[in-house]
Amino acid sequence: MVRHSHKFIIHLAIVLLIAAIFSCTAKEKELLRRTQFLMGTLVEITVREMDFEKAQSALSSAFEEIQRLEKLMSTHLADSEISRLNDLAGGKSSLTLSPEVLEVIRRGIYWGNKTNGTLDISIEPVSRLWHFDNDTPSIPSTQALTEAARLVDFREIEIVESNVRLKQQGMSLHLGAIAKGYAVDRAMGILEKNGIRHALINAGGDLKVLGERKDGQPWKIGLQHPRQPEKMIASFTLSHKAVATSGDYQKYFIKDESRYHHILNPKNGMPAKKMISCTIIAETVMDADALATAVFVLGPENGMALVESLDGVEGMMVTESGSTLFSENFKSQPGFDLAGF
Amino acid sequence: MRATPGDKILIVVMILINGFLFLKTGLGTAGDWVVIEMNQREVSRHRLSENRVIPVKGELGITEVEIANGKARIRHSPCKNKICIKAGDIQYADRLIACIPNRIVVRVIGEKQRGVDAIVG
Repeated sequence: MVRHSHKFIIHLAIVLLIAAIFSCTAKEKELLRRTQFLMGTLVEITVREMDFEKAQSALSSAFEEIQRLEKLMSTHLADSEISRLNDLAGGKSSLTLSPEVLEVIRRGIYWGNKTNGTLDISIEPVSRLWHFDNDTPSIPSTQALTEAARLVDFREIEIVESNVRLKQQGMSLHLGAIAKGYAVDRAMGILEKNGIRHALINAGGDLKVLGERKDGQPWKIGLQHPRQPEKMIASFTLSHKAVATSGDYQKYFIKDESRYHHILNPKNGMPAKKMISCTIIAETVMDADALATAVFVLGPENGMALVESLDGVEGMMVTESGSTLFSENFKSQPGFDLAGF
Repeated sequence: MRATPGDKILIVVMILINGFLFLKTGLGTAGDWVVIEMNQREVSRHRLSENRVIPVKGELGITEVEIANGKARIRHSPCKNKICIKAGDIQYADRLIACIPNRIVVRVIGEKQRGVDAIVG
């Protein structure tokens, strides 16, 4: 009898111990998230990894990579390679650039050609006239815009091996439309190199995922409603893909009941007016980022034609009237749910 | 079926360990909270259900975070572009508002979720 009683208690203790162990394991399986202000936005990296030390080390390396790229490509830093290249514009001297900066410039030129200049990484002379980062942004004069638009031409970027020169005086590159995406791609590569199998990086809406949020459960992404920021307009799941959105609802001001936003048509320097939001799914964030801007400027008809011509790219567009347009397979994205405008 | 004093102690210890771990991992985040961070460090957290205005000192000056009717927003900011104010209200644990120039992040954590891991836009 006594022996049976002890057996029961020992069994009970074992059950409780197993429950305690499972309780600890559940905690370890939780997602680990870290944020940092980089590249003019909040970068948030989430990883799912049992080994806490490994996850922390991978996160640090990923953030260090983004910081390193920011130092190379930011126009806000006077000694970045891009700032120094801009300072030399119009002169005879070229600047030898790092492979990473070259890669981004080459990709920018690629998309410039592909979109017939709708995406132009030399748009800075026009962008700076609008002062969107100031508390008093204003509409530049037509003359100022026309003059600045003459300096916007990615074809005037000369590349000889690693040496780059901007041919016209006053030209200026701004890699904002693609550098952030590139940094996210590189950071995800760093996580993978460090043995991370499941991760999500969100750099102010430039997003890439790896693996799953739980076993058998892919990451789920929501798209912000362009006019009611607290709402989602759609959601879907994503695996090993990238997504980026361009919209007229973040950097903007209203004057005489018209909205003036920061996504500018490189041809005339004015905000593109044909849609209010464009979301692109692609293999890399750099391409998703570039295409979201280019398609936004192109408008629904030409933008959709471009998206449909590209392999592995899907697009969703919202027009001013609230119409939602989708490329052929966008709605086939797993878990797709349209809340509506 | 008589348990010895040692058995009783063992059972009580195991129950306490389980209870502690359950509370720590399960109920520790119960309810919805507004977490305010400055330069990646949490400076305060407040119940989403309690209406109040919280001034937060950032790199440029004071950002005012308002919690009202189960939603949080930035109602005043010393930054120039005011993107953080234009971001509107947040009420779900999948959203945050960031004031990049003033290095302030306001996020909701807790049970009020919409089943998404990130919002883009």
